[in-house]
Amino acid sequence: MGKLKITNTIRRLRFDADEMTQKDLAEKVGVTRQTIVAIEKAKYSPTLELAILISRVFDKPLEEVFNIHDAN
Amino acid sequence: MAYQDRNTVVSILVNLAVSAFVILRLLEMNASGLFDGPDAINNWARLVIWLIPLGIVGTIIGTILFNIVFAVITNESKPSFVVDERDKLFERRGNLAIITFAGAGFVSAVIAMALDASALAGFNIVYFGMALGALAADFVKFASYRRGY
Repeated sequence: MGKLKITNTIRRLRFDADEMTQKDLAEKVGVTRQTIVAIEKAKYSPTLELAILISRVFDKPLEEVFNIHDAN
Repeated sequence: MAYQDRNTVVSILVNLAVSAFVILRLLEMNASGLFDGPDAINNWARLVIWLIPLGIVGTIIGTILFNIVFAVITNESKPSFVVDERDKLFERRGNLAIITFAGAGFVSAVIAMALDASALAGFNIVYFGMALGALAADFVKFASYRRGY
């Protein structure tokens, strides 16, 4: 198995949710805005707990918010 | 700038200030002959024991001042004080640097003393190994915050 990369659709989901700000999302899930920025850019992979909390905010299943790809 | 990111900046400044103070004070004590007699280790310990409260008080004052200045500069009425999982990840990376430097300092001190260095030199190597480790940990965290992951 090659190197895997976790991507996400948070930016689009925020836009669809009345243009929710990164700060609003961060407050809803109890993290810093900088953590949301890092997750959106796929620079940081959240823990399963945080990933579930984020998907709950958008009322979407986890696999609709996060996806895993082969990085190569 | 996240809360723990701000704390890291304060910690770097405090560590640098305390280390500079220690180096100057050690040189001063050495010049005045306090490390020449049999009480050398005791005199050294009397200096180092004050560094613990000095570091704590310096960090508290530095954190308060830095957060006030940060709030004024960024014009944020309610700066965030949230600590999250990414902060804890960076903290663990920093701890690895502390363990590495402190361990290397201890081994270096043992080797130095086995090669006839004085106990005072050994204690200094251990102390500065830990001080360098704390500074390295802060730089690792600082770099992690800049990189974002």
